[in-house]
Amino acid sequence: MSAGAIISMIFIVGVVVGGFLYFLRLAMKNEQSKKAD
Amino acid sequence: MTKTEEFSNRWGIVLASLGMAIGAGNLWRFPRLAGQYGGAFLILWIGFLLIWSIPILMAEFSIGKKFKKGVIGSFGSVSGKGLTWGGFFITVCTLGIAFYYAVVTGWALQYLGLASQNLFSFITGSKTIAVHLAEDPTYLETYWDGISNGSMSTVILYILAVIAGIYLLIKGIQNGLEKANKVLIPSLFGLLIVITVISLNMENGFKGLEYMFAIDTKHFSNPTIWIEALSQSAWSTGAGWGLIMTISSYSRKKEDVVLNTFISGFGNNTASIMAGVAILPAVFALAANEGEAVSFLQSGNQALTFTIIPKLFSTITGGAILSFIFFLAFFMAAFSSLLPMLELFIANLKDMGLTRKSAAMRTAIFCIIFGFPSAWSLNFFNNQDWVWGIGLIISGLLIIIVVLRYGISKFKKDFIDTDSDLDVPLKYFSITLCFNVVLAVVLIYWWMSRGYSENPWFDANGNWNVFDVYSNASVVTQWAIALIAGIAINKYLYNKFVKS
Repeated sequence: MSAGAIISMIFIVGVVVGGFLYFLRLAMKNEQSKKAD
Repeated sequence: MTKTEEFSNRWGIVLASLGMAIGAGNLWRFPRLAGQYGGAFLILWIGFLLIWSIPILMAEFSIGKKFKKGVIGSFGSVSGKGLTWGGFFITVCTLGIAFYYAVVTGWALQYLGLASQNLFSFITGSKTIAVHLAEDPTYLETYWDGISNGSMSTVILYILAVIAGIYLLIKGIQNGLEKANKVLIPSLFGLLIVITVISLNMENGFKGLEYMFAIDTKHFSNPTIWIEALSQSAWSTGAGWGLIMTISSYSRKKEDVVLNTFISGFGNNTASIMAGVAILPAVFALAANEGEAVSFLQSGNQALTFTIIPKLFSTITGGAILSFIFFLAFFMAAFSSLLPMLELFIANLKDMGLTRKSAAMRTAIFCIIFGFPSAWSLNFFNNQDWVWGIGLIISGLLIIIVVLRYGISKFKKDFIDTDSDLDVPLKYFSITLCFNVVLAVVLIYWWMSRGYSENPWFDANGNWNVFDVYSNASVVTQWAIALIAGIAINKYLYNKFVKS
């Protein structure tokens, strides 16, 4: 794979999968704090 | 009528939203486009997730959550008496898709059966697909031709898919939809990971990733890629379908609109990326050369999924296992999207005073009757895919119009901000929604001017070309019937679904 494709892959996968995991984690955190309340 | 059913917890609605969004399109359309256009397409596709899909999904989610009715009732409650027919059009449009989508689920079952038989033959040492292909290279094309037109087995399998969906939905939201998605979605992600690992370990597998992620900047000046990225995001996330409106009508009282919408949108895109990373390396590794791999990707959704992929998988050791896993994942994706489509109709019928069981039975009968022409004729299937696929853009536009009529700022304050932990800027919501009106018009114009039909409006004899598969006349006529019918019974719809 070319360096450009690798950088692009890291950026695209990072934004999409990273975004999904970030929002999922935030939801888990909020859910736990709501339960604790 | 106010619903009393609701998801047991946040994860119930998150999984249902993911199940709705992740469908056949993630596996048979996205990898095709990503392989052809690469990173330029992916960047635009991510952009349109934020511009088109998320704002519309947010609006839909909040409307369903607020009014807790089916699409006609919820839409009519926010639009007011004059525009209740908009909810009717969205319902007709999504039902039009559900009828032929049940056939896609039936095909998925058919190929899962073929893959299981192939796996059994591989284990027992009898005749596998590879042996059939050695004797007759057109074996899979013949098989596909056999099931896509006038096939009783397709009819039986699509009916089976509808009955299985209705059987689950009769059990209710928590015991049916929620439990099904708890199995389907994690399993689907798991299966995609397995295919990815196998594909990437094939020789030349990484070439597929090069094609998928390398950015060719000259693609940005090609309008086709912009439109394909927009339409892929619009269709794949389910924005404008009324499905998330139906799902959110079963949400708990204090459900987070913004965060759940972002999870659904980004989750759908994650599944698409996984499907691309799973399928493209296999296509590039197993094709004779890169030119052939690219030509495979240009062959269309049905050809890629039902003839090329099984053919490619049959050429490797253990391909029978890979083929089985792929079609199991394809069936799960299709089935998880069929469920909310059926539920959309059930929810509307429940608003008319029917019990869930009675509404579900009527939905089954309706789907079986109106799905039959698509199961029997591939031309009819393609026509419905064309008409209601583009119709979804009108549905999205209708949702935008009700938000604009209500007032964007007031809508955000009354519908979205209540119970949302994550705050989206008003500027983002208002700019994207206004911009989407332009996008919708451009998209509809572009799709209708693509020239798939030789006679888009009138045939050679000068007659209105309504019976052509891809004609604009067919599209406009069917939309007009749905719109006129909705407007004609608007008062009835308002009294029955909104006022009561």
